Amino acid sequence: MTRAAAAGLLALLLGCERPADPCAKYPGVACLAVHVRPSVATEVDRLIIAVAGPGIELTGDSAGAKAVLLPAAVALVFPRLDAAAEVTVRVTGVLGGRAVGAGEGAASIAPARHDRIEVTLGDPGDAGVPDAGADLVGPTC
Amino acid sequence: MLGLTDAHLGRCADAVQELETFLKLLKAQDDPRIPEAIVARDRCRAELLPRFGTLVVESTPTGAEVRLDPEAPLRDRASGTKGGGPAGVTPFRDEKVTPGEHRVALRQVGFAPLERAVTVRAGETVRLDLPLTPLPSPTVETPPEASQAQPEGKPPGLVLLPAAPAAAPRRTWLWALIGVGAAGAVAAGITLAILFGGRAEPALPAVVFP
Repeated sequence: MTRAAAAGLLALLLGCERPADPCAKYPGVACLAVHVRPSVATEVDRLIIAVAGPGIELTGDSAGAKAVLLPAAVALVFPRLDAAAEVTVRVTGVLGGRAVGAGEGAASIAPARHDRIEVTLGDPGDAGVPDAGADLVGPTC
Repeated sequence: MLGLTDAHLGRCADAVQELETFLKLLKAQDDPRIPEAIVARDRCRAELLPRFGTLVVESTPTGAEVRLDPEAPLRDRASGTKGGGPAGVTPFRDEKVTPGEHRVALRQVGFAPLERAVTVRAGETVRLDLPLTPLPSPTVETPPEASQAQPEGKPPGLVLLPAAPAAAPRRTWLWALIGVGAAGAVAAGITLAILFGGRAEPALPAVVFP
């Protein structure tokens, strides 16, 4: 039992990623750090982002110079946000022009505030696994 | 007059040439500048003459300590040359030796000290190549038990004694402690590396919603 626990802890430690804060470059501006976790998809070269909320319908995409292995992070920057809002962020992972995973999560955004959510890319056909927040994501490394 | 200016500035090589030309081209023998030009030219000529000689000392084997004028240490130091104390080791070269008689002393551990007289002339190089004579090995009185163990063909007086087995100090506990400490440090390092040195999560370009 002890041995199994130790092995589990070691596996957890070895699997840890050092989380980057992609919003660190945007002080004083509303920014949402989206940490994209792998599930079905493990590698993407582009993320299509859709942000929806009361009076908010935004889409954008982030394309890296080359494919990256998940987990990865992306900053959503809202320089003209003038009021706090509850939004749903839908992320679609693309590799070689083909959608390889999708997922969504709920977040709060507010002027000049930084926040973070985690989105797991599941099957692109069913919008992935909705993230209910950090409580369901598991231990943070 | 350019030659006089150069002489005043210490540029004697140029000054001598310029003053020679000036004196040759001067038609009037009673020109009042002639005495000054001659004095300046002669002073510069004297300055251009070599004031030192070069001493090169080599020895076999090399690495011997070289002393110049070991018995008159202060005289040559005052004139700017090395004297008295150790001046260097062989192969040795000194390009600023005052002209005149000097004594060169060589010392090397295991070899007989050596001293030679040299005459150094300004602008010339004196070269000494001195073989050093090895000193005889120190003799050790042979204890009776050692004489039996002396291998044949070895010179008498030099004794090879079997080494006495030294009592090994009990330091096992110390090594054990060091080992445990090192293992602990390695384990701590690995744990810290895992905890804080993991792969950084790659960041994709930010999405800015205007």
